[in-house]
Amino acid sequence: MESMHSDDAGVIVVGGGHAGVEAAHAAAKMGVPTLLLTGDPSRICTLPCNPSIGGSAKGQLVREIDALGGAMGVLADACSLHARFLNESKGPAVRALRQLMDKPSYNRMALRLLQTLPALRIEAAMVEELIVSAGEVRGVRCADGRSFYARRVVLATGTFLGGKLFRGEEVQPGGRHAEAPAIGLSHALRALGFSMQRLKTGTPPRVDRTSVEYGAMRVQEPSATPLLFSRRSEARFAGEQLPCYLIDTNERTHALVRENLHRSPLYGLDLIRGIGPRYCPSIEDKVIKFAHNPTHQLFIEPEGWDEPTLYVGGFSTSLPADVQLAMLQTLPGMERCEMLRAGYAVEYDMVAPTELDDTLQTRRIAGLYHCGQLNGTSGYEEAAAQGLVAGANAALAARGCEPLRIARSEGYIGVLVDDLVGKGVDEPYRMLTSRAEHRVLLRHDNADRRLTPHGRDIGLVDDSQWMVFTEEIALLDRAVSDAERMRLPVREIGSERFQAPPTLAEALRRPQVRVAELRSWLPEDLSADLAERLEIEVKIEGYVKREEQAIVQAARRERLVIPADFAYEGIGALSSEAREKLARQRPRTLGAAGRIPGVAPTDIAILSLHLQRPEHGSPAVTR
Amino acid sequence: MKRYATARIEHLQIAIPAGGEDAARAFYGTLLALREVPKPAELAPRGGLWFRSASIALHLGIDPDFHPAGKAHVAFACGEYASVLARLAAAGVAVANDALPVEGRAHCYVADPFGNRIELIDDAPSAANDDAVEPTIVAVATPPGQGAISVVRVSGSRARSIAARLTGAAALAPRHATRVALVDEAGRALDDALALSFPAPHSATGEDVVEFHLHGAPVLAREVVRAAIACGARQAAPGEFTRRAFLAGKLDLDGVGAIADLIAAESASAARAALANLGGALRARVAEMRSRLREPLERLAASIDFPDEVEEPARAPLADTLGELDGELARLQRDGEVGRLLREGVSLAIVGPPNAGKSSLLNTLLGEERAIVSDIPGTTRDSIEERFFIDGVAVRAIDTAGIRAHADKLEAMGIERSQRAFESARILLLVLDASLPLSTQGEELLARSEGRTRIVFFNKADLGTSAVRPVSGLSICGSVRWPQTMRELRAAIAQAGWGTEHPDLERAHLAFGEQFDAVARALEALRSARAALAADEALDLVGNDLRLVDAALAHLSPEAASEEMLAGIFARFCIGK
Repeated sequence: MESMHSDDAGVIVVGGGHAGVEAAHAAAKMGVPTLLLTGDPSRICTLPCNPSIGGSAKGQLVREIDALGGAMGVLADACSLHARFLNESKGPAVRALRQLMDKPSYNRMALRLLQTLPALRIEAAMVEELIVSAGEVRGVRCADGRSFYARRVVLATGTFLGGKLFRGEEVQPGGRHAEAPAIGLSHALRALGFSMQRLKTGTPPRVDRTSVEYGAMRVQEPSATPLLFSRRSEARFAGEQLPCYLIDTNERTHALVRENLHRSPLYGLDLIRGIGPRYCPSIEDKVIKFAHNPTHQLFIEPEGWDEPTLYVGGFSTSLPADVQLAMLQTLPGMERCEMLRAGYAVEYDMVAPTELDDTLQTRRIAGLYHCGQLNGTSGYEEAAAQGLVAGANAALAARGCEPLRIARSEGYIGVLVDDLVGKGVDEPYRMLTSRAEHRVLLRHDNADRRLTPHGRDIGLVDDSQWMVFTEEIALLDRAVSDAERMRLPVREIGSERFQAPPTLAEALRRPQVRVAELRSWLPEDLSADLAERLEIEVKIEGYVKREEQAIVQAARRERLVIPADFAYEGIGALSSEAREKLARQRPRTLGAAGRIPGVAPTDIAILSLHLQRPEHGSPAVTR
Repeated sequence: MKRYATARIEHLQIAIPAGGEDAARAFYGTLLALREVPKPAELAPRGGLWFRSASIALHLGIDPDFHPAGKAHVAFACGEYASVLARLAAAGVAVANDALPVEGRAHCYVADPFGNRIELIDDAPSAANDDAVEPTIVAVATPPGQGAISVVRVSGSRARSIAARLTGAAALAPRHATRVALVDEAGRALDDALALSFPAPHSATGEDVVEFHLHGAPVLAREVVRAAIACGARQAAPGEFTRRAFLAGKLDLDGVGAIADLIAAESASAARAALANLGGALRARVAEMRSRLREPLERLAASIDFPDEVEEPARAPLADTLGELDGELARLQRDGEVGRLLREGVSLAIVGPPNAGKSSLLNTLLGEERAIVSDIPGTTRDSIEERFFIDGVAVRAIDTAGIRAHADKLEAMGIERSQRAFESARILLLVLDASLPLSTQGEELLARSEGRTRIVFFNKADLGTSAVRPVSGLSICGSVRWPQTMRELRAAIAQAGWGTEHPDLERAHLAFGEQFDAVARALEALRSARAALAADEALDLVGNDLRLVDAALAHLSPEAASEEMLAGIFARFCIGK
């Protein structure tokens, strides 16, 4: 077949990484005919960098994707070979799940999941060009000459746009290890007028797992019970659970870095122009910028049950392969290790996400959506979250429905999208808890409360997920209200003493009392998982209420919609920087306007005065 | 012109019972202030009344078979809604207020004397009715009564034409003081004055501005304002110049606050405090506090986002830092109180039995400093309030003797005010006659003022001291005729008003109520954080409070808080896998 009719595909998704897969999954699951185009369909979601999914803030993202009916949580649960809760002692709002994946399973499961969707078709194709007519996207043209037509196109091209790999003196075009980059599409986007930036990221070397001495390393054991992202997953281990290992670099490692800096494409060779992530520095950066640290911690992680490789976390580098091996062999337990693949840096093109509206559609070309690393983010979870939003919105637009918008107070996904389209990026963007001002609300335990109704509204949450959700919430709500009423027959729980027998809720509000100690007074049908949710909801109720009040107070600003044609130019009181940025980015609400860098509180006060005037945009002061 | 089959309402008719004319006249004519016109001679015999004005035509017709209209009704838009309601209430007419405003306007229902339903709607111009063009505004720009020169400021598109009318000068040179002979709208001479013209946009408000600098007399300044209004300006609302300046981009919000302070500043000290604010001294203090919060907050954030790599902050040093910040914030709040004191002054009620010497005490305190006798109509000041200064702080003395002097007007009102002064004043100055046995009224005042911040002054000690006795709080025995006594009294007022420590005028003070609130919010969140820390709560929850502290402080010195913190994290910790 040479081409499709325009009504064959409602949505075309370009790219088969986490963003593309989540986008295609969402659109097709919502019942919109969807075509996924990717260079090699057998290589979707290969997890080309670290083997981990989740972690601080990222774990919340995965729970949110799952709550909305997305794929990542279910896939990860089915491939997990190591799971652990982070931040257990730091507070319920920041508790987060992290799993390590069996990489081959993940790739296989993702493909299998997509194949179950009747509305989805997958084609191997490298997209070279967008077909655009009168400011609207009409389809894509491929390197092999084929064209596919649809009025909604989701670009999820990852690091492939103009991708270039660096290792020592070697520079070669590439999107990932041994895969060709997408040069044509990068040119095409530039030709359409998109504002592009260059970013850089990197990956560490992999070593043969049979060539290291684990005895010299600190062990990090996985959880003894299955820990899952998705409420749809069965509560069992996906397979054997493997430990991770921690080791430290030493002065000999650092000396090798310093001695070989002239061979670093980042330093001596000065080949790399893209900006790398601060939170994921290369070992070169660590040694140079934190020279006072005598050691740096590394994480030795398996990449699969049967994979021969170990991932050396924290050791990302673009030094030449021979230097990498020498450096590895300075590490404890790795003295005789074999390097199976050297690390490298990758530089790629991104499109400024300030080109997007809050549905991830570009303002320049109607029907075109951008998600994932193309928007300057890093991380599988960030990519998947955007993929879901872009795919769902493309599908909703194809059906003529209202778009999916998640508020900053509703989810990390909302924070992610709002940060991207409002602030733009100047380094690869990673989700961090400190980016979320309402994080007391954005907990891993209540993602379903926050988002499953949204997922149901847009048709992404299916009946079985919806039923599980409604039943669990009913049980939980009953348990919470019972906890306020039910008095315990004791005055002492652990080291805590009460003047009178406390209610279950009063007991739980003491910081030291954990729900496990009260198990015998809880209803029997309350699962351990729901009991933990009960504990969290009761314990931090006060914080939640205060946060909700703050949100109500801010709601007016968040909801005050700025007319799309608002004339910022006429307002002399705005700073010229604010005026220019507001006119370019056209934030939808006053709240979004306030988060644009360079727009000061004063500017917002002025805007709000103007928005309350009878005629928007009429100059405040006539002369 | 387009013609309509039915063009407009010519009049409305309400039915009244026979013989109801007088009651109707009292209600519609007196209370609702409608203008009665004689009925045409040919209709007069039928009885009833007509009311007509430019926009109202209301006919009251006699209906022999009268039934009050309970649902059908006429609605009047009232230009002076509040005073109409007050008149109705005074006349004993029941007013059914509707809590729900209609299109943003207040409204209510009343019944006329016959039970007809009448609706009254507040016709105050709402923002929606404002035309896009801002009217030209005028006001006296200098504080009333102070200084040798009064400044009248006119701002808006008509400022220059108004200036031309009032000065007779065709055009004023921009930004030059021009000596002019001011006349009013009718050409009557007002004053020999200076006029300055600031054409838009290079003026304080960004509009055309003209200023008249007049010789002292407040009466004269008011006369110039009146004349400008007669020439088409409108009296400026409080803060309106500042609002326009703000909208024109001439001030940032901090500046607005400080300018508001300058306007309200009653004393030189307040002016200086306001200026310190404008210079950002407050900002510096707040920035210092935020920087102390930053390290633990950054460490906490880093330990959460990179749990395998960064240790969470230790609790004990954090508790110490929070304790110090608590002290610092509380000090800021106290300084804010000082700022308020400097801005608003301190209220002092002089109370005592008749003939104890209250009036002569006040007159002596006022002395040459007698600054303002604030009987200017239209100002909100109480007409019996006097001001004098101690160490640059305004003392607002409420002379209850003065109330008595005006008592002939309305005895009840005087007593009520006296009572209110006694209740609300920050300091009570109780004046007693030392030379005579204490009167019952004196005893009663001593008892009632117990527990208040008070100064008991046994006056007339030059005539005898039989009434003098030990009392709680500050007490002074002497005579208003003795300079030493007056010095002691001033010192006592200062001590009662702002303590022994002289207000530190060089420190920054919180200008706005809003800033007060921010400090209070910060302090509340900080105390919650300290409590949570002490109770061994999870550090993220402590951090949640601390972020609220930071956010409240950021309100006082706005910066891009979260981005700044991220930068701090990445500079401080080596993170990343």
